[in-house]
Amino acid sequence: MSAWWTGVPAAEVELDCGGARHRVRWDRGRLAALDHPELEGERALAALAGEPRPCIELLDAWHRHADDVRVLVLGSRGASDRLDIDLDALTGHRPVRRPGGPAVPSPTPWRLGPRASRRRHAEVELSWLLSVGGGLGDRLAATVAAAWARRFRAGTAHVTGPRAPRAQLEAALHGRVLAALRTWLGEAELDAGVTMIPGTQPPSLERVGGRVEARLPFSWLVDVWARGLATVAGRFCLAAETGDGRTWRLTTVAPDLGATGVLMLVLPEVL
Amino acid sequence: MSRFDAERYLRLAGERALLQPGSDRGHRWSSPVDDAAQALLAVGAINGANAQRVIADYGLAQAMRDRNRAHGAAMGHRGRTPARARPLRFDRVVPLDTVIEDAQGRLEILYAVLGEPESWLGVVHRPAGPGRRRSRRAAGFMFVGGGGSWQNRAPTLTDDRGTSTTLGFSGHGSDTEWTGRLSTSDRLSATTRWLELDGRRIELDCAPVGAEVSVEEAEEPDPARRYLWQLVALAQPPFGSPESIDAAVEAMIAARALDPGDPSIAQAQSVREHLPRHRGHAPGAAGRRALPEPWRSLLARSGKQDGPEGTLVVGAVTPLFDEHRVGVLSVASEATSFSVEVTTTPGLTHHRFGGETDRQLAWWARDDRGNHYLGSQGSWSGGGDYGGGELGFWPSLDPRARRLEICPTALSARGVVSFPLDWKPAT
Repeated sequence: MSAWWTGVPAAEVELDCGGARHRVRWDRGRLAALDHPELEGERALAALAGEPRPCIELLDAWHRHADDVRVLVLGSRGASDRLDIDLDALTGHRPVRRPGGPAVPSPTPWRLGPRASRRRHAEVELSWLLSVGGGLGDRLAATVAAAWARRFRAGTAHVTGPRAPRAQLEAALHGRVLAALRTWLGEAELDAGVTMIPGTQPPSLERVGGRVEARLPFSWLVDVWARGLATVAGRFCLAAETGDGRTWRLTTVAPDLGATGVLMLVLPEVL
Repeated sequence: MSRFDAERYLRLAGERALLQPGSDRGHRWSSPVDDAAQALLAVGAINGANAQRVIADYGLAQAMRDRNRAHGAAMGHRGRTPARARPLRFDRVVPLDTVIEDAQGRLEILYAVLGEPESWLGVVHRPAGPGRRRSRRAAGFMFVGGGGSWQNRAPTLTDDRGTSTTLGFSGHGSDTEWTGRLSTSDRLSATTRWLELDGRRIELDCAPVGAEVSVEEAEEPDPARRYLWQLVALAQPPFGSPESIDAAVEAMIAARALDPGDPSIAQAQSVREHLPRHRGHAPGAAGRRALPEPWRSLLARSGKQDGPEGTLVVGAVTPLFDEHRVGVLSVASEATSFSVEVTTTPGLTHHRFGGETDRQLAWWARDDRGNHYLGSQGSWSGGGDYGGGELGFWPSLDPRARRLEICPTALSARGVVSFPLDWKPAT
């Protein structure tokens, strides 16, 4: 079985950090601050100086939310669901700038006032993570989905216990499947029911009356959606498997929602 | 039959709302998640904390897609402390007929309230004509456009014990008229024989109309029907939307709290179709007789313009009902409608801004002729423990009515303030 990030392209963003433009890159499931080779030492120095380094803050925030199901609640459902985040407005920040004066920094989690609640802090941090650009928001969503898919496979209490965020996970799958179906079928008002099935059951897609009924496992978010394989060659992808990250076996269905067919996809090189 | 999962239901509603085509976002006063959550809360299918969490999640998700909603999402994080009913007492309400005229304009003092948590004078101020606007800024009582505040100095109010307190204005108005309250900063004697406003004595020798107060439990035993009718009463044009009611009905049906064939669903739909689209609009009479009460009698006088003209001071507070207390201050009637000034605890938000699961009051009134009236919040202030403002009621009061009952209605009970219509002619 391939790693969950196989087939997910790398992503990179540049940030203003300590007066310079720095790169933060996600690749093969890991986020790295490329311009901070001595990360631990720089983190300690930044803390001592009371000058947060956005690159380091981004890494820390990423790890705090790497299995936060709210990333899936807030993040994009796909290409048709574009985020347009105004951090100033979301944080109630009013950037007053005097003519000729210095730019007022945008609000970031570490600039929230001390009276902000933990929930508020987490929301602003999430908003910031999802707004930094460069495709990192989608990679974070993929990371979170992968964490929960792993828990489903292992059958841990995270997904079977009474405090499991099952409704949030079902909604995360529902929204992304619905967005993909609407784009694929060109029906903006399409109604769809999505049943979250165990990974051991066969996925399916059928039309019942005016509605599409999808039966998909939560892992569809990682195996298919996060890899940008929801629709391929005009067909909807129910499952994607690879052994080497280059040759893909896609279980797909045509727009008539008839029988499933297998597409083999061979990439020119391992991404 | 599978168990209904209210949180799952709300989150799926949230997903559908997020994926609505852009032009359909934001044209409602409340979100589909909010509408469904309040309905599920009302029928006990979800608890308040869970409902609030889902509403907050999808409110923020919407705000991250629509910049127009972002500020609202930030505001939603302030003052989330649940408001509750506090003491509300009018120790004494005195009708007044005092007019103070000077170079700044005409100040009409309608009544004085001595009570808890504060005392105030109900006033109407008509500034001097436009040509004298500059002189209004010189001294005296200053109602400054846009804020209605006193500019040069705060006026003082003194009681017969010698206690003096400064006054602050709150209210609404325009260049030609301000209506509102001059509220005290300190407590005055409730038994004072007179008040002095900046040295001008006002005798307190009148009594308000004798009002009776009571509480009535809701007649409808079914919580889903109660909620549906409450929603119809609250969702008056232009703030209500048919989609809000549809979302609530769908949620209650999904929760099996309401049968899809329940006759109240069709009745509510019919009532909505008969509601006037704006004040003064008289909808057709066809089918009106089949509507249930109180809607039938409400609509029977719709569009009439024969209301009496006058004002009266009530000054009565309901007992606690469904965690609310309401004080009815005054009533002003004119040919096409009537208005009632009230104070509430807890305070009420003006409309249902997304994310809040405030409990709302439907403002019903009824007279001794069997007519019903429905009010909605107009100029309003306060949303914490106390609030208040002006309610606009329609249709116009039946000129033959001799008694009126104001009935702020919550889901399980209503307060009733009943009083005779002893009008003081309008000035």
